[in-house]
Amino acid sequence: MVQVDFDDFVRTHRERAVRLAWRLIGGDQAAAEDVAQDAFVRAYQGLGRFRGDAQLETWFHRILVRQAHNYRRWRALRRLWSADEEADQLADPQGRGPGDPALRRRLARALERLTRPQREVFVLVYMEGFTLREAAQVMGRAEGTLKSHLQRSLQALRKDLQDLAPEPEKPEEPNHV
Amino acid sequence: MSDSRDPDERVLERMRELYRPEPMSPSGRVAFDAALRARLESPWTRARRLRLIAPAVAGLVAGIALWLVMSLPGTAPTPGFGVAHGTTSPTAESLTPQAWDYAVLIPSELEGWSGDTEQMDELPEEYLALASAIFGDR
Repeated sequence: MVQVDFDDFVRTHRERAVRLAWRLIGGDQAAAEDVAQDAFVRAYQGLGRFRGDAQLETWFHRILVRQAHNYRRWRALRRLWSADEEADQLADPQGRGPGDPALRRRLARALERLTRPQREVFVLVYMEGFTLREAAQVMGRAEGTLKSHLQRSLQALRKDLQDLAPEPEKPEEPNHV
Repeated sequence: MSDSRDPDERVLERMRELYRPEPMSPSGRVAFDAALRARLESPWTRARRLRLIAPAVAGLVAGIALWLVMSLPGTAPTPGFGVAHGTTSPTAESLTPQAWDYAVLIPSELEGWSGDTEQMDELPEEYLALASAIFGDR
């Protein structure tokens, strides 16, 4: 791929890449940009190995999801070794974003409690709008397996976040005096 | 008007709304592109750094592990290590416990071992059973 094409590719996918990384690693803007840049660098360096049997986007997103996982592992190790407060705070969504920061933290923690495949398929399908087939290609897993991970993730989050969707208001019942 | 959508769908929609970063500003995009370009042009990218450092670290760890093993008491010159074949082979009586472990793994290092299965007859019954299970009745 020539340089111009790659620049185009970055321009087209930059925003989504950062958002996806942000959601996968728990809402840290600087880290999400770092992960996205790492993924672009790796994709650029590995273009020669790209076999073309998958879409370039799918291939790039596979690299990105793996980079996000590597970042999470590195962060977990750092927490384990340093046990400092700064590292602990990395799990919390930082930087600006819509809505209440406390609520964002709650969402991040709820996602944190999921297993790796549950979290990844949930973010890809329900939050980023990938189809199950695309998510299966990105994650390198069977669609059927991902379907059950998706079910379980939804069950777990439903339990944690049910109050986010209050029951639709029922018509007031007449007072019987 | 009440919301007739599935409760799951409502939760998901709220999550999509709330759990996302702010869109990148134009200056944010420029900064992102500049940082990415610097990384792409740097001969010293993280990946290359790792590619150079990882073997060095692995070699260092292997060296330390080897040094630790060699410096353990009782592990001094194990038969077979660094001894050319054809030189004096150790006898069963002269072997240290560690050397026995080695000799069990590579019995030809032990004097008197011909490699013949006839020698197996001298083994206790349970060992014979094990040997026949492993090697078959040869």
